[in-house]
Amino acid sequence: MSLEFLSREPADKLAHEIGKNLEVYRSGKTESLIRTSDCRVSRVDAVAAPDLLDTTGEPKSDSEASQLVFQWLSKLTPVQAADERLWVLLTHRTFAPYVHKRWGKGLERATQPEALVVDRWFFRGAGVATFVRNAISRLWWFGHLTYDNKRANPFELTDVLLSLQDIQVAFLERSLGRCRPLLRAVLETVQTHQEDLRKTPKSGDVIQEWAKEIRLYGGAYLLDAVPPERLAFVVRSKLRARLSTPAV
Amino acid sequence: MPNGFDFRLDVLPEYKRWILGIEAADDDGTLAHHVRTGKARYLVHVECKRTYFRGALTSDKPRFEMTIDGDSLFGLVEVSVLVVATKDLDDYRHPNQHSDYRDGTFSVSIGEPLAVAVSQSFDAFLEADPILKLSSIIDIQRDDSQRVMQVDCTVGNRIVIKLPSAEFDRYRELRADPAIRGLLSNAVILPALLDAFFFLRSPNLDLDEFKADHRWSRSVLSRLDRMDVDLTDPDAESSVCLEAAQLLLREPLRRSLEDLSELFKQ
Repeated sequence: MSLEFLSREPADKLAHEIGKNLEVYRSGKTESLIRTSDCRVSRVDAVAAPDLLDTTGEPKSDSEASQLVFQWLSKLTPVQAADERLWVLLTHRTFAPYVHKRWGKGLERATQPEALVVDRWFFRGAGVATFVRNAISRLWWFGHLTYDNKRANPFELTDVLLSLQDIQVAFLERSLGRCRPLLRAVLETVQTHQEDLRKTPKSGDVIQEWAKEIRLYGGAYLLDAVPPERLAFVVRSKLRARLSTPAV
Repeated sequence: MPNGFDFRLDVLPEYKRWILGIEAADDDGTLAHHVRTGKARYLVHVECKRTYFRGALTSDKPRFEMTIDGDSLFGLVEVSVLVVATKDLDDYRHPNQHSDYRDGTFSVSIGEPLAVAVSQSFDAFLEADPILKLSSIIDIQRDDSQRVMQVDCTVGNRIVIKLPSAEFDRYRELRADPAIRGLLSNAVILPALLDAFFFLRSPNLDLDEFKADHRWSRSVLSRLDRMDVDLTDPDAESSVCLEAAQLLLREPLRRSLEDLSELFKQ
């Protein structure tokens, strides 16, 4: 079976009409916004879509959902995974109940609900954050960036990445996250210090400050040229120093 | 000192990969010496924001190539070339360093750049829509009345390929095998596209009217337009049909031969 996608023009029209359709997004009935005649067959082979809701109807954890989506679309290439047309159909139709359950509540209290819809139901913008904002593409990209078949559990680092939301924001929403050796060093360090981070009262601040220091380091050194062992050492040392610095 | 470090970039797009040919300037004796003695290397750094791609390759030769999967790049790609330290250098100095530094020396660590060229960029275009399945404009049907394959591109939104029963059954059986998709494409789809493209070039065809009623023609012509191929140009040689069909099918001959090579290896 081939995956379907939404044609360009209907996708653009849908994005144009977010304000008009806000109530539909709030209700979760986004499937009604998609006309079958606007869908096309893609060259991406896929079996039946996984269920991202658990038996109680609640969204599965990001980690579990990420594994399911990445395994489901394991043959997707980065070029295909950067194509909005796929993700828009997946958020509006295939996984509409999941997206509503996972992100729909935010629409009630958002001061800019249109922006939230753009972030979670669409795949717009030239920044790196776009990849990890769309409700479904983020799950695929988390898997793609962290899957490591040399490990006993290939999704070990996916679990680490999704254990603390600050890691995603601090690293994946910035160009720094594109550096695979760095990302690996960061996640392995977090894995080692998971317990310390859990015990730290403001772990979010620690991660943000730590990421800032790594960015400064990346301003002086070309991270891709630093041997992985040294990079890991630098990343580790900077987190240890942060963890031992008393919170202000 | 004025920065004279520069590089030449040649981009060679192939079907399954991009090859970046790098030729870094090596006329700076100090830098060249550090590379020769293993204390530094040339490094090419490539980033593509559209696909979240970031990669680097080092070389001890000023001329080298970097190969990147064809499926990894799309849109603007930035290429930077540097000379980076590969060993910690305690007393690095350059004879042409700025006079403010006089004869001062510097501690340089692994990964720090010794020279940075102005970045260059190129547009990683796509030969075909990365997700649209070509078969969505092609409908392959069984037709008991046919003795050989027939093509009808005038009946609706798709190009209809009619196969005699035995061939249709065999086709349906084989198409599930990804190992021979290139071969099947060459055997069935390529001739059908050729047939349809020759039809589009018919002198008496009212193209606008035909496009209005046949979605496949709108789809194909707009995709060819993006590839700078004008199938309907009356001045174009008839070989334009073969060229266009091969472009749309993403090098079917190469894929077929690759399929065959793989099959023989097995």
